[in-house]
Amino acid sequence: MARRPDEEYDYLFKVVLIGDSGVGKSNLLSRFTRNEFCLESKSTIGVEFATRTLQVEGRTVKAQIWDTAGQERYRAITSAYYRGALGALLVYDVTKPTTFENVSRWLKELRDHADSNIVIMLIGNKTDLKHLRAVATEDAQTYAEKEGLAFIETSALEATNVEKAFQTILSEIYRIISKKSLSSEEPAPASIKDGKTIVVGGPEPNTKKACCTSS
Amino acid sequence: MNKTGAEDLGDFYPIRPECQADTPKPRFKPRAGKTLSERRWNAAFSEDGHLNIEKVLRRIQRGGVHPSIKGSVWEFLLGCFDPNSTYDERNQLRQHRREQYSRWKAECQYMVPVIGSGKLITTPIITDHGQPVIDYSITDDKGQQVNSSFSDKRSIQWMLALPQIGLDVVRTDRALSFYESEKNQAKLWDILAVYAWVDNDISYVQGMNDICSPMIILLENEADAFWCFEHAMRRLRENFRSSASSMGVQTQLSTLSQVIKIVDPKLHQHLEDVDGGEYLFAFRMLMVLFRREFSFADALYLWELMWAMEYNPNIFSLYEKPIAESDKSAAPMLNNKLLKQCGKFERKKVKTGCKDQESALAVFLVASVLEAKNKRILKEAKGLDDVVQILNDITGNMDARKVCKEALKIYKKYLSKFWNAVVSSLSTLADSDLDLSFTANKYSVRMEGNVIAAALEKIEHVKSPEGEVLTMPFLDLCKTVLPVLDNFGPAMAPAKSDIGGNISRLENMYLSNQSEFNHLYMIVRSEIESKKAKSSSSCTNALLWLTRAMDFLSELFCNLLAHPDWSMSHVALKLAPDRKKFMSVVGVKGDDVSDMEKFSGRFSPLLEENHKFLASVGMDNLKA
Ligand SMILES: Nc1nc2c(ncn2[C@@H]2O[C@H](COP(=O)(O)OP(=O)(O)OP(=O)(O)O)[C@@H](O)[C@H]2O)c(=O)[nH]1
Ligand SMILES: [Mg+2]
Repeated sequence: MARRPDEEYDYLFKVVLIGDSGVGKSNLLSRFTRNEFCLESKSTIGVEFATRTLQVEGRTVKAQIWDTAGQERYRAITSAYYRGALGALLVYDVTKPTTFENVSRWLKELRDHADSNIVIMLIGNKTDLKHLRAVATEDAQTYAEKEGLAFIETSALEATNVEKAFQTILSEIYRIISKKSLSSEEPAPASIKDGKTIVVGGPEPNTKKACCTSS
Repeated sequence: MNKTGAEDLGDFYPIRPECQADTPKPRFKPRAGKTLSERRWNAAFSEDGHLNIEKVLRRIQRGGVHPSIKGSVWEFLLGCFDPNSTYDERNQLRQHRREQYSRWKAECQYMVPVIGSGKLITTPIITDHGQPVIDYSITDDKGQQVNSSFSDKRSIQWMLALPQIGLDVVRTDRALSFYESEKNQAKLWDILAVYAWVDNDISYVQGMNDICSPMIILLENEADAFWCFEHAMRRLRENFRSSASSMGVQTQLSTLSQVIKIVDPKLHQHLEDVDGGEYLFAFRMLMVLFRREFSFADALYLWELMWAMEYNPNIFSLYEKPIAESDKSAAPMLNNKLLKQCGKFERKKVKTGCKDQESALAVFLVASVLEAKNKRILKEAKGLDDVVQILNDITGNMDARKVCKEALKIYKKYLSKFWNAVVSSLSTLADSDLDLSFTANKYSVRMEGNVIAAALEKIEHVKSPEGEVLTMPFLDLCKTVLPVLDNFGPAMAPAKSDIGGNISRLENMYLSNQSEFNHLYMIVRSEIESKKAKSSSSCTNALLWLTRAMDFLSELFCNLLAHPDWSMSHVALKLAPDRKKFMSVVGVKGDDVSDMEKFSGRFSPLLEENHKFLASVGMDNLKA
C-alpha cells in the first residue's frame, strides 16, 4: 500500500492517554497535535483520537494518540483500546489530590489490559494553577521512581512541557523498539520493516492491525 | 449574518462571540410551509386541548419544529403528555410532576445543601466509605459539603457521582451564551443530580449532560425540563448501563453490525478487516445521539425528526402504567386510526406488536452516516484510525434530514434483505452466514394455544366452493401462524413486522371494497389493470412477500417433520429453539405430529397456487 506523500513516516507509534476525568487529557492532546487549548472543551465520550507526525531521534514518527474518557463507567470500552499501545500517558491534576491517589488504579488497569512492555509516563497537569497546587512535585517524583515510570509536570493551558512530555515518551518508545530490532535473539515483535516505512503495531500477531501493509 | 430568506437561528441559540469561529454553523433553517410553525401548532389543538398528533407529525417529519415551540412539542414527542387529553388534564399532570420533582430535589438538598443553591461542585465531597471530605477552599462552615457521614450504599454512590456531573456541566455547550450564566449551569447540575438520585440504577454517566442540556434551554421551568429529560432517558438509559466488561450501548452496536452486514456486506467486511467489526467507532454517535457530529441546532432538528419518526400513540400510556402492567401490554395492537398516528419508522415496526429497543432508528441513522461515507471508507481506510478520521470529518457537514431519509431507506432494505437471507438459508439448510446467534439467548417462548390445530381449522375455509382463494380467510390463516416467528426471538422482529405490514395492506384493500375484493387474486388483477401492481407499495407486492414469508414457515414445518433430530445446530438459524420446545409451543403434544402433517400437506400447495397465479400474470419476480 502506498501512503500519500504527506503521510510518509518511518514509525507509527500508538499511545493512549488515560487518567481521571477532568485532569486535562483532551487539552494536552489538542495542545500537542494542534497547539490549541480549548476553553470550551467537552468531556470525552468513549475514545477519541488525533495524530501528529514529528521528528524523534532523527526519524519521522507518526504519533497516533487515543484519548480516553476518564469516568470509571467507561472502562470496559476504553480498555479495549489499550491493546497494541506502545506508550501510555497517565495524567493527574496537580490541584486535585484524588486524581493523584487514583494513579495506582490506573496502573492496575494498564497491567490488566495493556501489553506488559508498554512505556508509561506520569504527567501532573495544570501547573499554571500555582495557588491551587495540592500535589507536591516531590511526592509524584518519588512515586514515579518507585513504580518505574517517567515523570513530568505540564500545563496544557500555558503550553509548558507538553511538547517535551510527548517527545520523551516517543523517544523512549523509539529506543526500546530499535534496541529490540538490533538484538537478534528476540524478533522485534512490535516493528515490521517495509522499505522506507517501518510500521509499529502491537506485539500481538494481529494481522488485521491498522498499520499492516496490505491492499 | 446569514439572511437568505430563511430565519436566522442565532437569535434562538446565541453563540458567544469569541466562539463563533470554532463552532460549526447550523444548516437547519425553519422553512415556511414545511417546518411546524407556532401558528400551525396552536391550530392543531381542539378547544379543550386535544392535539391532532397525526397532522403535527407529518409536518415535523418534513421540516422539523420551529425553535419558538420546540419545548412544548418535544414534551409530546417524548411521551410526557397524551395528545388525547385536555388542557386541564395536562395542567394537573404537570402540577403533579412539578411537586414530585420538588420532593426529590428536597431529599437531595437535605443530604447535600449545594443542590439548588445556584452553585455546583466538581471535587469529591465524601470518600468511598462515606466520610465527609474536608475542602479547605470552602471558607464557610467547616469546609464540608455534607454535614454527616453516610453509610447507606445508595447515598454514597450518589454523592460520589456528583463531582463527575460538575466536571461535565462546566464543559457542556460552553460555546452557547446560555451557559455563560452560572445559574444555568447550576440548573443543569441540579437536574442531573436529581436524576442520578432517582434512577440510582443508572446514576450518572458522561454524555447524559449532552442529552439534558437542550431540555434546559428549551423549557424554562426546571421541573418541566427534568421530566422532558427523564422521558428522553427512558429511550436511552439502557445505553448508559455499564458493567466491568461491557456497556449497554454495545447491544445497539451489534444490531448496527448486523444491519451493515446485511445491507452492505462489502463495507462490513472492510470494517472487520481493519479491526472495526465491533463498530466501537460509532459509540459516541449512539451515546449522545449525534450531539458531537452536528451543530447544536442541527442535533435538535435531528432529534425531533427521529422522535417524530419513532412516535407511537401508545407511548404515553405505556410510560404511565405501573411496571408490572406495562409488560403485558407492551405490544398493544394498533388499529388503523392509531397506525396513522405513528411516525414513519414506528409504523413499519409496530405492525408486529413487537417493541425491541435494539433496532432503534438511531442505529439506522448511524448506518446511514456510514453509507454516506462508504466510498471513502472503502478506499482510504487502511486502519481503524482512518475510519475514525473519516467520521470525524463529518462534523458539521451532514444534513440531518437527508440522514433520516437514508436511514428509513436502509431500514426497508434491511427488512427485505434480511428476509431473503433467512428464507434462502433455511430452504437450502446450508449454514447461514448470518450470525444471528447474539439474539439467541434472549428469545422467549411466548405463544399460547394450539397454533397448528387452529391453523388446520382455518385452512378448511380458505377456498370458496368454486375453488377461489378467499381474501379474509387467507389473511386470517396467515395471522394465525405468524406468531410462530416469536420463537425466534427479536432477530425475527423485522421480518415479522414486514409480514404484518403486508397482511394489513391487503386487509385494507379488501375493506375498501369488500364485494370486489372478496377473492384474493382480484386484488392483483385490479392492480394490474390500473398499472399499480409493480409499485413496491402495491398489494401485489404484499401478496408476493407474504407468500414467500409463509413459504418459510411451511418449509420450517416440513423440516421439523423430516428431521426428528431437528435441533439448533441442524438448522441454519442458530437462534431457533430446540425441536421439542418448538413442537410444544406450536401445540404438538408428545410426538403426535399428525395435525402438523395434515396442515403442512395442505398449506404448501395453497402457497404454490399463489405463486403459480402470480407467475401467470408476470408478478412472481418483484423486488421489495
Ligand atoms: N488551568 C488549567 N486548566 C486546564 C488545563 N488542562 C485542562 N484544563 C481544564 O480542565 C478541564 C478538563 O479538561 P479536559 O481536557 O476536558 O479533561 P479530560 O481529562 O480530557 O476529561 P475527560 O474527557 O472527562 O476524561 C477543562 O475545563 C480544561 O479547560 C491546564 O493545563 N490548566
Ligand atoms: Mg477528555
